[in-house]
Formats: sequence, structure tokens, C-alpha cells
Amino acid sequence: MAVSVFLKQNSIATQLINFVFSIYCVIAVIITIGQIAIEYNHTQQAVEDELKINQQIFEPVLSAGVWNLDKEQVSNTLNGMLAIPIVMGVKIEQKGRIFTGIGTIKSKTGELLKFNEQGDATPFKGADFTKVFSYEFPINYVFRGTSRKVGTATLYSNSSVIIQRVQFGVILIIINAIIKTIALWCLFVWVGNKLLIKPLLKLVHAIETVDFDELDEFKINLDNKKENELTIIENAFSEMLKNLADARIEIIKSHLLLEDKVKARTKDLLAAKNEADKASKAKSDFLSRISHELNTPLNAIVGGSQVLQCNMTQDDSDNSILLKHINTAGLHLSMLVKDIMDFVYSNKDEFEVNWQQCNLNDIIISSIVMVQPFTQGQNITIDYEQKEHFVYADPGRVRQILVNLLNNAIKYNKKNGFIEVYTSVNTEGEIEMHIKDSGIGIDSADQALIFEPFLRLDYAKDNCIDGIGIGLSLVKSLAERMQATVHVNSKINIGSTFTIVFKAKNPHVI
Amino acid sequence: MTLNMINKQAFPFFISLFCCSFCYAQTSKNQQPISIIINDWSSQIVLARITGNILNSVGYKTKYSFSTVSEQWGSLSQGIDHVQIEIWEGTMATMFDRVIESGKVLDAGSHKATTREEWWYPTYVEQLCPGLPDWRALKKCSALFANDGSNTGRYVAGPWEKPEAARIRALDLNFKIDTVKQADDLWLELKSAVKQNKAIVLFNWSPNWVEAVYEGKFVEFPEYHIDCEIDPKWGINPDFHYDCGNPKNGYLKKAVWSGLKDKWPCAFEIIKNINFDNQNISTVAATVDFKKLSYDDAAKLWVKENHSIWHQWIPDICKVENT
Repeated sequence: MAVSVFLKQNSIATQLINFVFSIYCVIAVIITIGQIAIEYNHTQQAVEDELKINQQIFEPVLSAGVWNLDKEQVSNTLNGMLAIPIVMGVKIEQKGRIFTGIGTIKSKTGELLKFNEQGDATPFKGADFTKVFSYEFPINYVFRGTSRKVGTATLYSNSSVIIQRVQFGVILIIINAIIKTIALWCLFVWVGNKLLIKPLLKLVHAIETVDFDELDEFKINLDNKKENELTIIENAFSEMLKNLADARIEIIKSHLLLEDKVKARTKDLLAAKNEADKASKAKSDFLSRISHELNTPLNAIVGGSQVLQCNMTQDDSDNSILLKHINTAGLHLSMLVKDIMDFVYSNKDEFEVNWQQCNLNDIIISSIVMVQPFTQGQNITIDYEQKEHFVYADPGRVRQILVNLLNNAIKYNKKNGFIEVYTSVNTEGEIEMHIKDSGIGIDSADQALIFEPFLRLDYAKDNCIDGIGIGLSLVKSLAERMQATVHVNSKINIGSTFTIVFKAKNPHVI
Repeated sequence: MTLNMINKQAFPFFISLFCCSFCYAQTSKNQQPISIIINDWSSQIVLARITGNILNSVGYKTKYSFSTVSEQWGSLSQGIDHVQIEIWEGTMATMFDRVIESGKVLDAGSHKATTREEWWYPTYVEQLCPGLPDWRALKKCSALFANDGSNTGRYVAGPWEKPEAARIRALDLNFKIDTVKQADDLWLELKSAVKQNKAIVLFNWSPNWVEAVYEGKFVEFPEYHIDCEIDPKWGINPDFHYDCGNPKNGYLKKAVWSGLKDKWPCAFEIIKNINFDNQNISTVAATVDFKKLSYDDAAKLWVKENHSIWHQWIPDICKVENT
């Protein structure tokens, strides 16, 4: 009920009626004021005309009296003039001097004067005459066939006379306006209620109470006998609901179909995932087993070759060279196996990080020392400006990351090239470690692929650069384990810069 | 003689001529005509023309302007007319007093003549209506004066405003008023009645030529008193005004426009001196009404025959050589 009242008060139809009626009221008030003003002016004009008529009525009598200086006769005439309701006073002048008068008049200086019984004018105070106006006419007396001006008569009246006259007319105008306004308001309300408010409220109620589950059974009845905009809205709304019901059925059908498809697809995906997991596990298991299986004989080969080298005499130079090759190949193979094992291990859940405060400077120096022997073949220099930075990480894994990145920087560098290692603190307080080289660079299209395992770029293949393509995958995997991030910035034939960003604080301390 | 010398000699001459003209204007009489009012009864008209002749004799221009008694006060007040030579107390006192009070009209003195205006009858009527001249006789024999066979008598009134109706009502007279259009009609009525020896009562006044031709008397109403006109309780009828007759021995005055004294000073002095008695007035009126001379001839006749009288009325300072 409260909502209905609210709706009724705020409905467009009610607002429209209120707006139109407000405009009407303003116009009605303006017109009524205009009518009153016109009535006032008309009455004033009528009063002035009546004053003029007095000239025709009284002039002959006045002229005879003034001609004969008969104040008694003039006074009797003036008494008659004063008996006219609109006349408040009359003044008779001869050559600018007051001859006689009656009632209340206004002097030329604006002062109110009242005539006494002797016809003398004395100042008069206390009267409430507003807007005194007058009509002056000459008093002519025809003597020997010639009209002679013997004086002037001035009749005075005031606005109270007009107000007194117009008040009845004004009351009628106001009553008329009020009756019209009330009648129009009632008509507005009745017509508006019947034609707009009730149908619109029904429509609103229908919209509010639409049951989307039973759209088929829903129907609006505005009881409109004649076709108009509301019946069009009613029909359009009914049609819309019907379409909505159809669309809803279609949606439900599609939804059910989609659900079936999603279930089937999910099932397929789960199966594929299981297969992939199994395959990945099998691959990891295979690599783990193979690495383990390879590691044992490789240790025997490397160990045996080293023992043989120690026992070799100087005469067996040919055998010594052969043993050296065997030892070198064994060590290389052993490193490969170790990398594979690390890569596999880093992707396992049981991978553990030995968290501790590490001196990054020490790690960098030791790593450079480790790769220093490999730089000599191509005469590559490694520059490092030492800075004391501490990160919270696993120092062995940080070194493993750095050695991998330095090896790549050496392998893909140019002859007489350089490698620059430096550290910095970014704006968020994180420690950054940069490895910059003057190598061949990486194409921007390949930069997203270089961290994929077992993927080798064409340059490496074409130039017989050794490796199996797991170095950068291992770097990324290890960095992520230590909640660090790896970024690369590279340009072809200019070089690459790899950046490891370590968290500023202990990630395990909140 | 050079032009410069002519100018030097002519200049004093023109100055002298200008001064003389100014002096002449001071001593000579204003040549604008003096307007003398004439009314519609013989004595007044002849007296007005006599006055005109006298003023003419001393060098004034005059003109005669007809006016009714009621209108003459306005024209006198405004200087349209300048002289009224006969002002009868009985009919004009109220208006005369009013204009004198206004200051626009001056009282130029009285004639020797005394006036009376009243109901009048030929003497033979006393035989028809015994008790006359007492007014109460009229109550008894009103039928005698009727002209339509009724008991209501007929009073022949002049064309001048008089309170006759009020008097008839106040004194309870069974009379009706029959007003004539002009004074001559009164005398025609009188002549006809006398010829038929019929009872008649009519408006008459003294001095008038009638008294020189017909023997008659004024009706004696209750004595006039000013309260008779003001207070209804005064007199025999406490309910009405005018239960009295007209004043007896009323004055006969002269009046002039107030500006005349300055504009025509000699004329003012002469008019003040003009003085007619009852006999003179009756005589001049009879000259016209009975001897049937014209007004102008009657006036000239009087002037011719009474040179010694009117010559005294002209102050010495105003006289000219041939007067």
C-alpha cells in the first residue's frame, strides 16, 4: 500500500498533472491579476467619464451661479455634485483664485484641503485618500451670444471610490478563477486518474509482480476500451513477455546442452591431464632413473680415467691424451646428468630450499671463478664491480643460477666479447642481479620460448653449441622456488641482459 | 545742412512730441466706449441714454448694451458692461449686495427717488372689491379677478423674478400667477381692463409713467421685514416665508464696474452725481410709454430741457468747453 502511494505520488502522470496544473495556476494568477488591473483601469476610466458627464449636467447651472457671483446657488449645485458617490470634492476657481468649493480637494502643492460651510478651504489632515485624481473643466457662460469663460470647476475623486466599485467585480473574478481552478483540478485528477495513473499503476504493478517461472500464464489487463498508447504498451509488454518466455526456454535448453558439453569436455580434460601427469611423471621417473643409472658408470669412468692419468708415464703421451679426452667427456656428461637431475628435482614437490641470509657478493665472485676457465678460449672478459648485498635465498641454488647464466653468456658470446655482472636495488627495495653480455642476442619472438625445457634455438644448433636445452628452464624453476623472478632484455647482435630479482625481505616473514 | 545736423535738431523735437503725447494721455479721457446697461423697462432705458448723452458731452464714448436683470451682475462684475443706472431695491437688493461684497462692482450712490414694487390695481377696483387696498380684501373677492370663470383670481406678473408664488402660498390667497413676457404687456393688460372696467391686479412699480396716467394704488400686504424672507415663523403664517409685502420706500441705486473708477475717473464722478427723483423718472417714462417718443428722443428731450440740472452733475475738472 505504501509503495502504491509512493508510486502514485511520484508517477509520471501525477508529476505531469502537477506540472501542468502548476503552470495553469501561475497563468491563472497572472490572468486574474491582469483582469483585476483591467477592471480597475476600466472603472477608473468610467469614473473619469462620469466626472466628465458632470460637466454637461452641472455646467449650465454652475455658470449662471458663477456669472452672478451667487455663491448660494453655486453651493447648492456643488452640494448636488457632492451627492454623487464618486465625487469627494469640487473646487470652483475664478482667474486662479478659489471662488468656492465643497468637500475635500487637493491643492496644487499636493496638500489636502477641506471646505467649511462658508466655502473657505482649510488644510485637512487625517484623511486616508490614496491616489487622488481630478477632472477640470471650464465654466462657460453664454452672454449676448458669446461663450465666456467665467471660471473653472475641478472635481476630485480618489482610488478608494474605484476600489469600492471594483471590489464586487474583483471578488467575482477571484471566485470565478477559484471555481475554474478547482473544477479544472478535479477534471485533471479524474481524467488523469482514469486515463493515465490507474493504467500506469496497473502496468507498474504487473511489471513488479512478473513471475519469470510462470511467464506463460502471465497476462496484463489495463481495461482500456479504446486503443491508445497504453494499449500499445500493454500489447508490446505482453508480446515481450511471451518472447521472453520463449527465449528463457531456449536459454534453459542451451544451458543444459552446454552443461553436458562442459561435463564431457571436463572429463576429457581430466583424462588428458591424467595422461599428461602420468607422462610427465614417467618422463621424470625415466630421467631420474636414467640419470641415476648413468651416474654410476660415469663416476667409474671419470674416476678410472683420473687414476689412469695419475699412473701414466710421460712416454705414453698418446694414451695420456686419450685419457684426458675420456676424463673431459666423462666430466661433461656427468655435468649434463647432474643438470637433468636438478631440473627434474626442482619440479618435484619434495624440492627443498635451504633458506638463509646470503652474501650475494661472495656468490658472484665464486661463480665467476668457477666459469673463468671457459672464457679463455674466446678471450672473453668478465667485469664485476663488487657491492655488498644480502638476499634471503638458498646460496647454492643462487650460485647454480648464476653459473648457468654465465655459461650461456660465454657460450653465446662473440670472440673478444665481455660479460658484465652487477647488482642494484630497485625502487621497491628489491635486490636485482644483472648478467649482461655482448653476445648474439635473442630475437624478441624467441624471448618467450627460451625458458621452455629442452628447447634449443637455431643458432645453437647451427653453431654446434653444446647443451640439451634445460639451462634456462632450470634457472627459472630455481628462481621461482626462491620466489625470485627472471627477466631478459635482449637485442640481436648487441647482447642480452638477464636480471634476477630477489624479494627484499624474507618471504616467509609476514 | 548735413544729415548729421538734421538729426541733432530733430531729436529734441521728437522727444518733446513724445512727452506731450504722454501728458495728453494723462489728462484726456479714455476713448474706449463705456458700456451702459439697458434693461427692458422704459424709465431705465431713458435714464441710461440720458447718462450716455451726459458722458458723451464730456468727451466719452458710450454704447448701450441690453441685459436682463439676472444677467447684468455678471457682465458688470467682469467689466463687460460698466454702468447700471437703475437698481431697484425691491427686485435687485440681494444681487446688488452680493456683487458689492465681491468688490467687483462699486456702489455709485442713490437717486433721490424712492421705489416700490408691489401688486397694484386701478382705483375703480376698490368699488368692486371693498376693503382694498388691504390685502385681506383679495381673499374675499378673488373670483372678481378670475378670467376663466373660476373662483381663482388672476395676478398679472412682470417678467422679473419675484417671490409672488411664495407670497400667495404664505398668505393663502386664492390667486394664480399669469406672467407676461415683457413690461409693455402689463400696460396692455391694464389698458384692456380699464377699458372694460374690469377688476385687475398686476405688478407695478414706482416711479413709473403709469402713475402719471392711471390712478391706482398698491395693495397693502403685511409690512416688509427682512426676517419675513429668512424666518418662516415670522409673520402671520409660521410655516412659510414671504408672508409679507415688498419693501416700501426702497432705494434706487446706481452701480458701476469697479475698474471704471480708474479707467474713466470723470465718468465715475459724473455717475455718482446723477440724481433723479420720482417725478423726473415718471416723466421720462411717460414720454416714451404715453407720448410714444423713442427712447433716444426722450433722452435727448430731457437733456435739452434740463441742462441746468445735469450740468451740475459734471465736476469742473471733467468739463470741456462746449458743454
